[in-house]
Amino acid sequence: MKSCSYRISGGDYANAGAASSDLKAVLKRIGVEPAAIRRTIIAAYEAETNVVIHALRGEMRVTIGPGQIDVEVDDDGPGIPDIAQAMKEGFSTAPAAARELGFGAGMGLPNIRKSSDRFVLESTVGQGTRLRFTVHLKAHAVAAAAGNGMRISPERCTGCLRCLRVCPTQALRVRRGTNAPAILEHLCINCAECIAACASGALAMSAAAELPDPKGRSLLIPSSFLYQFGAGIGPESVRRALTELGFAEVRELGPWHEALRRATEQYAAHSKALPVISPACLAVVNLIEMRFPSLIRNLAPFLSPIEAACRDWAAEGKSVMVASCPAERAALLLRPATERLEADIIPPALLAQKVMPLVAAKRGAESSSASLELKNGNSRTTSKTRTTTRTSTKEGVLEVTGIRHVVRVLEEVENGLLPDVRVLELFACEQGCFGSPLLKEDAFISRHRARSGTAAEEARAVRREKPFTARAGLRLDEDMAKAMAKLSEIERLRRTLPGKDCALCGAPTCDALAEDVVLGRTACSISDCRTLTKK
Amino acid sequence: MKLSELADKLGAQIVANVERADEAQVERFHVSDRISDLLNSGSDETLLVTGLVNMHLARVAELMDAPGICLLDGIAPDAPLLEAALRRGIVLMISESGREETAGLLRACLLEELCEEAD
Repeated sequence: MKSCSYRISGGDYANAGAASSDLKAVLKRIGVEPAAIRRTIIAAYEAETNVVIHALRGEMRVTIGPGQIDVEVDDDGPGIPDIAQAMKEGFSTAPAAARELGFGAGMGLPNIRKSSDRFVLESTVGQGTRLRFTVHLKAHAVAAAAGNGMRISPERCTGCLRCLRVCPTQALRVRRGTNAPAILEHLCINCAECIAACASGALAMSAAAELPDPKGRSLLIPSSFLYQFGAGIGPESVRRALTELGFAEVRELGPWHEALRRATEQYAAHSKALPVISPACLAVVNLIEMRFPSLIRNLAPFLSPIEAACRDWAAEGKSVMVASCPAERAALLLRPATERLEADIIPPALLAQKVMPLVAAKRGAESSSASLELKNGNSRTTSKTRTTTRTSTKEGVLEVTGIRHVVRVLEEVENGLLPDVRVLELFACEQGCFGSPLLKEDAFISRHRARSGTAAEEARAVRREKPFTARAGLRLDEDMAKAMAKLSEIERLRRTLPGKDCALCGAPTCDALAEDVVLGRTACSISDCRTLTKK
Repeated sequence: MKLSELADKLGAQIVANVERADEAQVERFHVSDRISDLLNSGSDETLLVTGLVNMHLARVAELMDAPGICLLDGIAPDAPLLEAALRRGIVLMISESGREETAGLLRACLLEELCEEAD
């Protein structure tokens, strides 16, 4: 635990930011992760300049603990009469002198709130203002705040335990007595394996239940969506149907995948950390951040296709997005959020329901669509055609799909066993995003059909502003000595268990049960083991 | 792209820390006249472009690890800004052209570099 405090003088513009500078040096010396430093410093500087602009004097006190940075800024300024108004972007009471310097844009308080995990503002008019904010150092705390995009319906759970066995990060538990899956959010990578395994529908992506009014809005769909309606119904029919529904514009994700692929290959030509891993699949990115932090430097520094496609586009209330997995949904929700956004992210099935009646009537009209489109494809080289030829001919690019294969390949990379690969394209789902369990058509079939598809959309790869950061999901304790003690306790306990990994206790493996007991996770004990209790 | 190369192509004059302009690299730029914007968008790969001229720019660049600042319309920095930039090792350059033109040139330069990397 380390504390520091700084005096701030009101009106002393020459020294505005001095406290934040000093704080930054302290955080760097302690070795706080760069992303947390950045967020803390943005918030601290805004708070500091607020005191300089509005108050006579103030004080900033900072406490740096093992898991978080707490900052408290007190001032004796005039106070804020209407806090809700002060929190609005663009609202400012700064004097003209401050505005001339570029301050007083009404972004300060919103900026602090955006940059921190917890934000409390108290103010008494005529006495002063106290602002407190916290930045979490544990990445998983942030991930948990964002939610993992899963919806659990306990009443549907049949207790089959299939989900436990397929989860690649052992993030699921089905505790006795509750008879419903629970997710350890800090371990979940949003890969949708459990959704694929769940036959009863107890596990699903949480998403809007009703299609938002399409009138005059634009729609973003995964390209795979165009190939969900059988052989007789080609992409043109589906596009037409979407327009008939009322969408003003229909955009596809395919070209954005292609743009990212090109950018990643270009990046690989200069990168020293080989193989370069494409961030095309967000579940894979999550997996790397959690389980393979040493490979974070291999990730190409771009946004995933859906993040890139929505970056400058999905303005408030103007667009509807189809997310084909919880990872995509979580990424969309992490964007500077508007309240309506959640209702504007829909699962493919919901849209398919609406499209089906419209295209079914015309079934057969495009019966020879495959050959027709091939001709079109020849005249206008399409992103999809390029995709397949490039991937198959380009040397040193390895595409791997399916989470189990992905994990094995990443292990090989970590052990330095893949020097012959320059670019890795990894997807959690089989056949990439075509294999999302949220899509109805078989991945191999829809991907085959998509090879002749066309998409004229312009797309580009977008550099990330925030770096990838390690998630502390697997760490047993912040303190290494304690972590080691816990590890040996887990191993001791593990030896008393049968090692059958039957999952009947509600944890996926005997190891996981031992870990749960030692870490004191949700009500469980060693007596949950059926084999032990039978004896 | 190296800041020195960028300044060359932009026809901008480097007035502080010329010697660092050869090592400092940027991959993007951000144009704004609001300190909060510059703070939010600053990074160790970002050139801050602004019509503001005051010493707080150097502070923001330092806090966000931004390697350089580009001023607009040929307006020279005042003494406090120049001194603050020198002290903190931040490359300071002056573009003769205005906001839109400078932004256009910067965009073209950085894109061109991306394309060259591709070839």
